[in-house]
Amino acid sequence: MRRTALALALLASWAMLLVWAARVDWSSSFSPAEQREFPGDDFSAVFGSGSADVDRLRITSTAEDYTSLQSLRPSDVEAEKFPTLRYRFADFPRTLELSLVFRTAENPEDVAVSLPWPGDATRTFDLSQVPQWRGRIVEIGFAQFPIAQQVPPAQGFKPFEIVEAGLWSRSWRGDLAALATDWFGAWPWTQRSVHALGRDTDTPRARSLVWCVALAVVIALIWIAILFGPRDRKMAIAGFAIFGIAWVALDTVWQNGLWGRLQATRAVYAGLSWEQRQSTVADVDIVAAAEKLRAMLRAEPEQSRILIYTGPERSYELLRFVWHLLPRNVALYGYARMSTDALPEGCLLVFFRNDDWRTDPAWRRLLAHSDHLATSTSIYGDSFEADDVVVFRFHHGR
Amino acid sequence: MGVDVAYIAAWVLPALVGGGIWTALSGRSRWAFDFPAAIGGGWLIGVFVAAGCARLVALADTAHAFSRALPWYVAIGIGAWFAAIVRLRRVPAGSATPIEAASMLSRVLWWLLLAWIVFRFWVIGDEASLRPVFPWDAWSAWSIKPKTWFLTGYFEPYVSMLDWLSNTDRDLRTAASWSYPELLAWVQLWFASAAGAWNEPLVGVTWCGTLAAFALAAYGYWRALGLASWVALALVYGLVSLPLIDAHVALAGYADLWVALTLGLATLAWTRWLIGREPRQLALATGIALCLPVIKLEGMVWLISFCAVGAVDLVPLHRRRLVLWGVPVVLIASALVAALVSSHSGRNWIEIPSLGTFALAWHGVGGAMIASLFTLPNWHLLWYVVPVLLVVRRRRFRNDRAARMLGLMLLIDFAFLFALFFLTTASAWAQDFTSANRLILQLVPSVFVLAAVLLRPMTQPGEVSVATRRRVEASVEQTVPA
Repeated sequence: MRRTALALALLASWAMLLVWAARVDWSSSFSPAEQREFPGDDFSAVFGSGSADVDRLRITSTAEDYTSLQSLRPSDVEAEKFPTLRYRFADFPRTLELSLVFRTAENPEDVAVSLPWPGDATRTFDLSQVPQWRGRIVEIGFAQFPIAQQVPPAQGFKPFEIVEAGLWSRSWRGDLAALATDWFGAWPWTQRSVHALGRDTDTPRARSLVWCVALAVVIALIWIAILFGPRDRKMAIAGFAIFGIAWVALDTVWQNGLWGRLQATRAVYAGLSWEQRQSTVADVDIVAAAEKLRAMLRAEPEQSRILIYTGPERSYELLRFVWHLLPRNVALYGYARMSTDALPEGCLLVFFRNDDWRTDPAWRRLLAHSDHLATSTSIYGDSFEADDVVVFRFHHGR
Repeated sequence: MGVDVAYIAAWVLPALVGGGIWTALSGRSRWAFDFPAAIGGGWLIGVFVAAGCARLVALADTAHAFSRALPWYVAIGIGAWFAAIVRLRRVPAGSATPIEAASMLSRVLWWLLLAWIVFRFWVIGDEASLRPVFPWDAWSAWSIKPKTWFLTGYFEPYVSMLDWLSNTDRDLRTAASWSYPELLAWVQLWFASAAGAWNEPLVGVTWCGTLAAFALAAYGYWRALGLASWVALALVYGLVSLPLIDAHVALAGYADLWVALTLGLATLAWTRWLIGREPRQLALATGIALCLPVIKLEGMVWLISFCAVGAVDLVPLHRRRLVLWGVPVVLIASALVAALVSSHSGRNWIEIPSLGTFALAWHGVGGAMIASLFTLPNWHLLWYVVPVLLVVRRRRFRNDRAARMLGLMLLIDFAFLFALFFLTTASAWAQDFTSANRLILQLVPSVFVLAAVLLRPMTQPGEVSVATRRRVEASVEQTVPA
């Protein structure tokens, strides 16, 4: 009898916990009162190309920058009335990231929200947590791009299909489905993954799974204590068993996420030799720029001091450029200026994706006596102004 | 280039050489589970010795660091095994392996856990072995030196930017991370030179090896503490299942995991000294702990707290209470005086050797820290369980000196982190969810060691009696000047 009571109490308590975690609106209906359904072929390819195929839109290629975007212009969609997004894709490659993109009548700027990898199932996302999801929606769509900093852009894309999408009014079903997508959805590795998992993306997230599992364990222990009495040994055994199950449950979710991430990595690197793995990087354009500079400086002694400058907002690219330039004796111009005002005579100043050397008067003064080392191709025209790398040999004055 | 004999040897030799050093220091295996401890702990020690050898003999030929260091390394291994064999002959075997009456359920559990652990290692190891170095600090800080030294073929010192700019006639290098310790750079060079090329997947998979080595060592040590086989393996599973630990293996390149596992290994050996009073385990623990500052700068902080608590442990019982109360009182009083003097002089900053200078002020980062520990998916339920375990096993914690000493060390370490995050501008690391979790990660294996001590049965083979302990302490008292 008490065991049955325990089972019922746990079921009820955990169900309430789920409802709380899903931020279910108690006044809403179980199923959505209003729906807007968009078959895949309602979307049209904005960037990249696609073709309609039996209610679906098949995306067959990307734009030149390896991104693709499909959108539609819905009529009569007030964001607040439709806070639940439903979407389904087929054959969506592991190597792509997916974003929801929308514009409102009140704010013509695009808003992009990262979504978890869709797989082949229907996914649900709670848009009520997105601050910009307000007003009348004039355009909505999906954007795809190779996973940032991990997938070489040219290798990211494989054809896939938009099966359908939809917007639901608030409902228990929608909120619980959104919670399931949030807790069990697959996200790629990011630079933040070694610092704090769960903060890998700026996308608003649901209530924490870890927190809810911990609460579920506490609730279970409280019910056991109430129904069976706080007998030390039995409580300890029950507590240990529940805690173990909870840990394994969390770890299974984590294992699933690890597996998804591994599949994304394998999609790029599996089958490559060790040499090919080493040379397969996402920032191929930066590697090319580094190779170009290396070729320009072929005759320079290995020990020549090279200082790299780029504008603000480009620290990732700058540091990757330095990394790819190794083993050249290279350092950051910004750090050099923090240490001293006097640059060594004859050092090399490299402007990486930056034209301050010709547009900024302060730079022009500094470089007044320096030699501009042209690339082998730039002497044939004015294209040098758009070069990724522009090199000066620094001289104080003559 | 690739996985050839040299590269395989670079993996196997540390276990042999380090295993020899471990055996020479710790003596004859008393139980079967000393074997995984010797292999795992030995591998980590062996890798550090290999890096040290390469540093000493391969400065002029870094691309061949492995082959340059190999003769010396093998000689060290032979010497270690010679010492081990001599010692094994002198010291009689200990007690036989305790026979554990394992139930069918615990056996099934053991195999299930092992299978899950192996699968986890396969997943994160595969991830690490596929891609070139990915996380930011890995390629912008930790791999710059080994990559440069390998590709140039010789060692060049890294200096500050000012020195680099002022001495253009000398072979010098600079980077933002110029002052970072270099042991890990030489570890990377060891594996890269064995592979015959600068190949980041082949270097990165070493992170997986380190965690596996620690898992082996921890299992052996925890079995030696008297834990049932499935409990010891469950603790190993608990550690290797932690998402942030897995992330640091899968996205290899940061030094935090190495600091964490080195501190953890030192703590394992130290625990054995605390419980069994095996002097060579103390030597082993000290030797391993000394590697901490040459892996990462904050390793110095952990080394200081390790040594401080180790010194407290060596203080005779009748003076220990005085030390345990006196030292914190003196420290707090000093801090208060320093704060008063600082406020009068207008100085509101503190310089922590090895870490930097930080402005002092209260920073409310409690929310971010709570999120990091309790709600974000970094630690599963670890930080919920640890306080519960401390409460449930409070009697053990009170009566067990090993638990108290480990607890004191971790208390000091966490107090340091609290002060760092809440009282200095390093709070930004907590607020933006960057370094805070990684610093906590460095203490996590040691937290598991404390958990193992709290979970061990009250009596087990190898534990010295109170009388023996007092005898040992009396002898220590005689040899250590007051």
